[in-house]
Amino acid sequence: MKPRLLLALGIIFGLTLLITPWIGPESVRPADALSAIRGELSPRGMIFWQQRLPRVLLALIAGGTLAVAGAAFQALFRNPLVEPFTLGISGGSALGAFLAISIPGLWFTWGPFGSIQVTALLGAAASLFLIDRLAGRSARLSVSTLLLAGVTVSIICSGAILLLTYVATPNALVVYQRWMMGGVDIIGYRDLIALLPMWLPGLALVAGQSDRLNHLALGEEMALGHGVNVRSVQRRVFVGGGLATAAVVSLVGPIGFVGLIVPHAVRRLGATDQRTILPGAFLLGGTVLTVCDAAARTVIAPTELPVGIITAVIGGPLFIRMLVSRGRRSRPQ
Amino acid sequence: MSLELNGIRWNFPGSEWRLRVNRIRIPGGEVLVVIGPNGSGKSTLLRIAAGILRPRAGHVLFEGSDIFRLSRAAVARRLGYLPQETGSDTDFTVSELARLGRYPHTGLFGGMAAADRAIVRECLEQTGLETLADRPLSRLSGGERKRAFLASVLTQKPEVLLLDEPAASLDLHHQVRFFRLLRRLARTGLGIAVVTHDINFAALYGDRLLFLMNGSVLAWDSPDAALRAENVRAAYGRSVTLLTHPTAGRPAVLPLPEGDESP
Repeated sequence: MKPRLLLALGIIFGLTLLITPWIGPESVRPADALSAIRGELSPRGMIFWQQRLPRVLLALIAGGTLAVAGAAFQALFRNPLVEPFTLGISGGSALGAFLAISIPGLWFTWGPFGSIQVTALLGAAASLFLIDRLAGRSARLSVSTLLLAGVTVSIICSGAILLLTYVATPNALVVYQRWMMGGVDIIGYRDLIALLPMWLPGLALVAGQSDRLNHLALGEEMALGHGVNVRSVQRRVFVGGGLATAAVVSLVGPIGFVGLIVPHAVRRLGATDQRTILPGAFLLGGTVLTVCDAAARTVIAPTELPVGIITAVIGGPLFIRMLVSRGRRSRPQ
Repeated sequence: MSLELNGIRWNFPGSEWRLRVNRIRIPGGEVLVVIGPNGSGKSTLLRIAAGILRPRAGHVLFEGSDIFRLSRAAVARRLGYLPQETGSDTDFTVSELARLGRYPHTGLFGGMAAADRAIVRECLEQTGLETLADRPLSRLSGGERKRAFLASVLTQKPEVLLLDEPAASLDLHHQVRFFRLLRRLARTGLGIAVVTHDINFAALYGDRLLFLMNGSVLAWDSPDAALRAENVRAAYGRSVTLLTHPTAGRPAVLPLPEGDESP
């Protein structure tokens, strides 16, 4: 365990939360934000409290969650290239969520909660089921096969989503456009509450496996010898990672590569213990996505980019570099 | 303490090969060495004994109860298993690895009490790794790495120790040290079963040998009785010769040069 690394990442996380809400096309002065305390909210104060802050909170949560899921799947499969996006879990969730957006009969809401989370979860479950069948077929399935399958699932899902856009109403298309490319901009506090029932238990389930995931690095037999029920760890990471990913993707769309870059960076910072890597990935993942999102709303202001474009531009090449260098080295990172 | 195997049957799906072991006991305080040619079923038997591989028929009784009905953690509190192959894609330090063996005794997040840390230190001393405690595994020699994994099994504080070719990659000096360590551990009451290809080490350090061939028990006996000429010839052919160790008086086996056949 490296408490000092976690403390440092925690401080950066906190600073991100304090600083990024002030960044955006419209400048907000502290006086605007403080106007809320006097009970008279100025328009710019509204932007700060009603738009920027929930958006920053969502980016912190989404980035953190995708990074934790990535780190946990990497430990489970003993491969640094798997993450919700490359395993097809994000793609499955996105297709599920988009079914609810585009097909009027599937759209229900109960207060802040909606059918979109349920269909996203079903999509994630379908992808995980496929991964489980593939990985279960041979004990030591080559991970490149798994990645190939995962990426193929992603392609099939985006194809299906494109198909759905032809039958969707124009209204749904507007939502879809920003959402599919990964955007955290259409958001209020209600959406954050809607996250909770799936996101919180999912994340807790994964976090509870952190020490057991350490054992999996020693090989399945060694883990069993130490008394770790490997199958139960697998199930919990699948269910927890699926729940948390689906919850986040149903709100922000399939943002790729955060789950790849961030755990990689945390390990590069010297963390070997999953009890450091998982919380470290949450803190750094939240920071990275929030900073990327702050960049997304300023680089070509007043137009805002979906943050998924930025993570893909940074993460895609890194993924390819890791893929190539893995072929050359026998020992993975 | 006792680990007992009864009527064990196993075969790989679709394979003719069969493992048949009727009754084997691993008593406390003894070193049982499992020998036999390649494909004789040594590792398979050890995995069954560790409760990791479920046999097609038969029972593994640990303290009188079926090992497959116990939870993995309950087994691991009293039984240590070192597989032949261990994961290499980790950069844990020696003491981080050794700590993991405390898993069945500590909570979900691996919180360590002072007593747990003392056990880790003690096991690192036993395996001669105390000066390497903070060294990452990637910077260890093959022998040191094997000992580090053994240390992580020892921190479980097992009463039975099952080791699959733990000394295979070690040089002669470290092999001797390794088997002497096993003898010391047995003197403290542990029951040990260890798989090896080295018959001379088996004869010298085993209280009893389990000699397997083609999945069947050729002998389960003292080294002198198990390594009778006909057993050695049946398992390894005529290109080896049987001698007596000059100082220990135990049997020893040497290879014969080309063209030389034992009678």
